[in-house]
Amino acid sequence: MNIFTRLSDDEFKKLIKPLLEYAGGYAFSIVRNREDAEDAVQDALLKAYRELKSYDCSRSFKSWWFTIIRNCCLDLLRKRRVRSTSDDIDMDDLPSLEVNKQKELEQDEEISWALNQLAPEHRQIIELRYFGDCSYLEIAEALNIPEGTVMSRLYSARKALTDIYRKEKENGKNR
Amino acid sequence: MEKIDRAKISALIDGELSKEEAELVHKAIMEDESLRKEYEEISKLNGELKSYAQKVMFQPKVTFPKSSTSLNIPVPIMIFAILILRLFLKLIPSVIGSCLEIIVLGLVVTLLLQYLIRVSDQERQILLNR
Repeated sequence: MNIFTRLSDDEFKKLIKPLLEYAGGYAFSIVRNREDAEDAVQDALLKAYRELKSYDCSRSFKSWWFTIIRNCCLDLLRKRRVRSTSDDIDMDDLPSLEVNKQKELEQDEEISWALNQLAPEHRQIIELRYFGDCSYLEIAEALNIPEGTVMSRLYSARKALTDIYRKEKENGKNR
Repeated sequence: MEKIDRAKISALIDGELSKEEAELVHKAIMEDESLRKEYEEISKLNGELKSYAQKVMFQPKVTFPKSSTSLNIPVPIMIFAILILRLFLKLIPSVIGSCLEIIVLGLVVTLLLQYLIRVSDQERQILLNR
């Protein structure tokens, strides 16, 4: 974007608003706490507004926005590392859950636990695909890798997740 | 039977293959038991992950930033305008004598600004139409 391209407040809102819900879920998948996720999205919003000049119009806006969210989440995690001692997600924080469905809740906990066992590069791609609802092209741009690598990495991540999930079930762990 | 890249099973589920590729992978899945098993496994996982992602999705309560100036003019342009104005005030006596030069300069600056703003508007439209 050149220095003359200045989006108005309304135009900026128009770009961000449709992506806010995914932003919430994506941030939640990284920081694993709703309050922190909200803080991270707010930080990302300010950062995106300030750094809009650095956005390259030839790339997807969503990829750029999700990269900022990820960086803000990681900053927040670094700052609050002392606070987050548990690996497991706080299920009380899950928004709009029908928490009385015990079986469903257990399954969610299993998925959450399995996601946490993944290698960082696998977890990152799963988060962008499912929580950020990103296409292969958007993931490629966000991670700066070719689309073919996105396909193979996503496949490996799913295989790894299936293996973890299977082992978890075999061991009969209840998380 | 044609051997396929197994990663394409995953891409098929995501709807990221071209029509031709999708048909090819689909055919291979129908013909090969192990591929079918893998397809079912990934589909199941895909469904579970999607459902989990839907549950954790939420609308964060955020405050949108507001620009500090009501005039939506970039800072470099404002500085440029102030400098030109100052220069103009200093040069008033001699300016009167060379009005023609000033008019030509004004026209050139206007055309330049018009061009730059048109370029940035096109950029803005591309961005907003995504």
